[in-house]
Amino acid sequence: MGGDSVFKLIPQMPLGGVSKSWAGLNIAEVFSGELVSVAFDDDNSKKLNTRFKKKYGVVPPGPNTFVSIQGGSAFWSGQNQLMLLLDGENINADKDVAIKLDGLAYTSLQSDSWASLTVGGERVYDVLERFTALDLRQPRDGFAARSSAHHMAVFILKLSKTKFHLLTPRSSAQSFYDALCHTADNVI
Amino acid sequence: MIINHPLLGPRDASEFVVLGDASLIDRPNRKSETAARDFYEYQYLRNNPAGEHRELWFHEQGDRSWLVVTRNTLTHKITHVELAREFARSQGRSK
Amino acid sequence: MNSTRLSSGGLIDRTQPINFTFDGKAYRGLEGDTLASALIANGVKLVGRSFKYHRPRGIMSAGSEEPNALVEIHKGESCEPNTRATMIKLFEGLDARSQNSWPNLKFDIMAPLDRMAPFLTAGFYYKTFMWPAAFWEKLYEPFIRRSAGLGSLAKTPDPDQYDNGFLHCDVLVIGAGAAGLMAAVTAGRSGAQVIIADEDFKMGGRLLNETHTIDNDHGIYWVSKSVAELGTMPNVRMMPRTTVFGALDHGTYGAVQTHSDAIAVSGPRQTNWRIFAKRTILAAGAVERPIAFANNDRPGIMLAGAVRAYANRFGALTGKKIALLANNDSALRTIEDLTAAGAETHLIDTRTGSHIVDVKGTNSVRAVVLNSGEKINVDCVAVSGGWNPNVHLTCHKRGRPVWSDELSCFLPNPDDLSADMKVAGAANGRFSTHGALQDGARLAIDAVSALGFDSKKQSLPQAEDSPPNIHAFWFVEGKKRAWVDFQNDVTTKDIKLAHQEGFISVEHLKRYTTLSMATDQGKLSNVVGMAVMADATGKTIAETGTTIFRPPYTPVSIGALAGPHQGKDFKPTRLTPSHQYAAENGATFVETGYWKRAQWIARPGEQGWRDSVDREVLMTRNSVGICDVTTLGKIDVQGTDAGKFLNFVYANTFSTLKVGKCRYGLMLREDGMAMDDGTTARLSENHYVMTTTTANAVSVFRHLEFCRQCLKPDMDVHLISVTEQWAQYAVAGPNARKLLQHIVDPEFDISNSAFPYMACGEITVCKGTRARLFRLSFSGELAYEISVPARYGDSLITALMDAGKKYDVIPYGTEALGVMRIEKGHAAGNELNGQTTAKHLGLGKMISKKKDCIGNVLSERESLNLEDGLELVGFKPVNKSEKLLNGAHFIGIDDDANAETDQGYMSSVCYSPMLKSYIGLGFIKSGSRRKGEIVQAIDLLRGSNVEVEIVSPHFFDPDGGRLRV
Repeated sequence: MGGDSVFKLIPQMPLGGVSKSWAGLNIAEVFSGELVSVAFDDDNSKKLNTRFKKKYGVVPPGPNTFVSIQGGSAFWSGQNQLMLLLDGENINADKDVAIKLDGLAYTSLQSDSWASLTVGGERVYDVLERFTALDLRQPRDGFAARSSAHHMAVFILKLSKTKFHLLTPRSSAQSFYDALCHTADNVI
Repeated sequence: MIINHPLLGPRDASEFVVLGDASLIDRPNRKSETAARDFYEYQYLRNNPAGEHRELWFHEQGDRSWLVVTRNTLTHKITHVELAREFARSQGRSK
Repeated sequence: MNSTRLSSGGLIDRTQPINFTFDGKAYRGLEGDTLASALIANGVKLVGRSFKYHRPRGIMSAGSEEPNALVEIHKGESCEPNTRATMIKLFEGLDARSQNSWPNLKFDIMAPLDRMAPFLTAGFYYKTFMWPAAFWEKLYEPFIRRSAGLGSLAKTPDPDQYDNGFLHCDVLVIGAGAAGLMAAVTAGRSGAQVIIADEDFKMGGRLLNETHTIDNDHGIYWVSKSVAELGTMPNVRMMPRTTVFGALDHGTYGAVQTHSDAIAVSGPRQTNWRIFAKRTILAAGAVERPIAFANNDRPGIMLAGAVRAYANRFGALTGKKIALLANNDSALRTIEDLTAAGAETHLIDTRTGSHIVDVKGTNSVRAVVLNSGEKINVDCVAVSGGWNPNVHLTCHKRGRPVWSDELSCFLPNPDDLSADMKVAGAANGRFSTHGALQDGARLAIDAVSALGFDSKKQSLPQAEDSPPNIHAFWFVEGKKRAWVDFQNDVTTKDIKLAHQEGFISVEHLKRYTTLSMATDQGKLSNVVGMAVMADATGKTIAETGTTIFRPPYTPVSIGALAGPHQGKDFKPTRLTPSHQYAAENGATFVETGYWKRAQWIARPGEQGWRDSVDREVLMTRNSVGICDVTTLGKIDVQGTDAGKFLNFVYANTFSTLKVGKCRYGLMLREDGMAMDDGTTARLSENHYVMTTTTANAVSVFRHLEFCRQCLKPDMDVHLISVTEQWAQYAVAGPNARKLLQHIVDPEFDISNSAFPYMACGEITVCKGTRARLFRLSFSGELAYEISVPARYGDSLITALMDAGKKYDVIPYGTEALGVMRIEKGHAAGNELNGQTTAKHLGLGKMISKKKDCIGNVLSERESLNLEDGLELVGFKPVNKSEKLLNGAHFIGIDDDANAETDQGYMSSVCYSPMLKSYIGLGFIKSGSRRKGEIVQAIDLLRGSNVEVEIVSPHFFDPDGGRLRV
């Protein structure tokens, strides 16, 4: 009786690690670490900023931005809300972050909700301009926004002038990937 | 249509979902003597102006904030956008 | 071959011939031709038959305003009707066919309709074909319908691909003529992001068609120079073959870019762009308008500017003997240009009192008769009644253009323009080349300066600046018909008749006569029509006004609007964590919104879905079954006010829920109707997890955020969706616990005493994997829902199925799920249909009176609390072998079925393998007090009448004993 199974559960990436290349473009699924959503009350926002800086090295990012932090990166995801991308595998990342932030914030594991893709190359704008309504030729790197593409949610992080990190819900990741590849086929 | 989000800047309307008149923020007090009438009016009666209209939009494909947008229903010009939370507080809403 | 091609000159390439066919006959054209110019070069005059009267028609224009030369191109599924020959760039193998004639253009069987003209005036279908009355539906209407319409549709799906896209710029320049190119070059030089779009495949606008000089050189050299410079600027995007079809709100524009007309192109045929522009310069030019005179619709009668375009740009003569009817100076260039090209020309200047009173020739013009009596033999008539600025995009947002008597045209109303748009060149009534260049430069500098870009004033190139010198001349009075709207066959007679019959508003005139309602949307007919009407009413054109222009400027294919979202790409597909497992094991899937859910999982040998579903129910209730319930919305609710918040959004109380327990929750709409239901678990003091139905996951989340931000802005409560985060499986049946004990790690006691019904907790499974366990039962069996982070979802289903082998575990789908919940009397989406309240559902007592909640006040309305109100109960057929139908209405056993005797309706039905008969849930008046009564369940649509007994909705295990073992 009890736990006599020989199974150890095996984790899987939403798309099984796909990647595809065209002349001037590459799309690849990546493991981007653990995603943890952090939300806090107005009353705690000052204390949280201080605590966050202490533990992660920088103050939390403002709207439309993502920043590097100790152990990963973070981007603004809403009023009094952030998303952390923490390096390495840690299924209890949300609990660890809650402790690290001394109970000043409420955390929720989000890693499994999202598929992670990098899209890069010199033709990246030709493809992305057919994909989402945001103006991605914004000069700065470190731009982060949540929007939609082909009726699916997407977080867009601008890593550099020719490279983007996209996050899209796990369940529709195949549709998203197919739509992105189809768009690339149309253009390149 | 473009909504100039107070925190994020201009965003295309396709990221948003509209609910309706911002008067929905003024939810009546159920303990009032006229509660039944108040709630009926709150739920069903609208001014439907040809002109400036304050309405609630949800940034569903964005930061999930509710916004109060002042928009002219004839010209579609948007003159003001604010966070619904702050507007609600200014209307006396709290817990 | 009647070639009219000039031996030199023009922007076509004589070294690149192109083969094409028209109405089955083979022809040759050149690279740079449109289909229209190639036909003209081949001496083809007759290209179609008119809509109503089937009169022979020829090419009238050289642009998108073309009303007559509508052809069908491609074959079969690619067939595209009503395409303007003037807008088709000639390509090798083009197969085009004329429309609206049978058996052929020259000998059309409907041609005699022209002689029936007196019976076919405006609104004829309201005044004729009335007797005998029965003939209308059987004979007249089908005949009129068959002879009406232009072109025919391929009745198969469009095989072409289309795409969508989004472009951002500082300055959008619409139109690439003199004004547009000047604006784009000026703006581009400042470093601003510029987009310049033109509907033509060559940039240059009318500079391509005319012989104007710029800086003492032919205008086309300036065009080439400008286009070349624009090509070197990385901040400029040139978009030929792109029609900006609509001015939308806030500086956004819709534009369709055509990549190719040819079939079998790789990639999309067209792309529909949404352009976000900070500033816009509308340099859309102007379209020439004709003059109405007797028989002015004969093939060979064309716009003067088009006659010049065919000669100058395409090197093709529209005739050898050309008469020019004009009321302005620009038209006089026709004499110069066409004489230089070798044609004989005759000027008929209305300003000197001359005009045309009749035309000879049917399939092509042979002669014109003047008011002086003189008859001139011609094979082409060039007509110019003036120019209409393309103001359309200034009107798409309710702008109303203003009439200019001096220029005899409508101009954009400067007071109506949106702040971001300015109008340059001919589109603003500045018809000279100098005017266009000056406007383009000036407005571009204004635009980029306003945006903070540096722009040095540059010297303007030299160009002509002649005034139009136009004297209004609209139509010639006479007995014979004179055409105003060529595409819809509307004549001056029709307009006068409409006025006579009392249609005095321009809006009524339009709809009654159908003037300007064809695919050309009145580009040639609008203003002439207004003038005829003004004359009839004795008003001025300014007083008469014009109708509103709406998008699209020219027709847009539905395919382009759909973009890539067609067929399987119409909407996203959401797959559950066990999808692959289910697919590999023979599941049939059902679409629930975007989700694909296993509906049933057939085993070899099973015939039809009933075999599978009945078997799934029996095996689950007899041993154990597993269902993927990941799709139900899961919302993480955290905060010190989480309990309070849940009390507000739910009818019942959640702040009292103990940690480690779940509770069923009913959510109401503010109007008192039941909105959604689910179970909410309390994992810790300030941490709840709410579930919603699959269908309402998104709308409930939206509603909760509304409550949180707009109604309770100071509550410390935070929400985030975790539907995707956790893979969740229901494990149900008498052996559910035994199965789970192989999966749940031994330190977690899931016995009945340690983990009773409605318990929940965080656990680990399979040697340390994080998981959550909820003891919930939708099936009514001993059941749990086990969830793991979705990365382990696929692995877990395999582990569960493996561990369950010794218990004959089976996966079950949504059908079996549905059967089991109906057997237990659980309400679901069918019952929470937006018209039912907690009371109707038998859950009235769930609404706590001790607290406020959404919906509590309006749920107490009298009409929702009637003594004999609807109540949810169960129904069984009296005759056990009969089938029940969902949606049937309940009628008293002795009553006839009608609205008065209607007592309620069936909401859910299934075959119950446990009861071995059909069972149903439904709403009937005073249901709970009528158990045992027999009523009729009548479905008039499907012709069914079954006697049913009213019973308790809890058909199976009504005491719930199986749940609590």
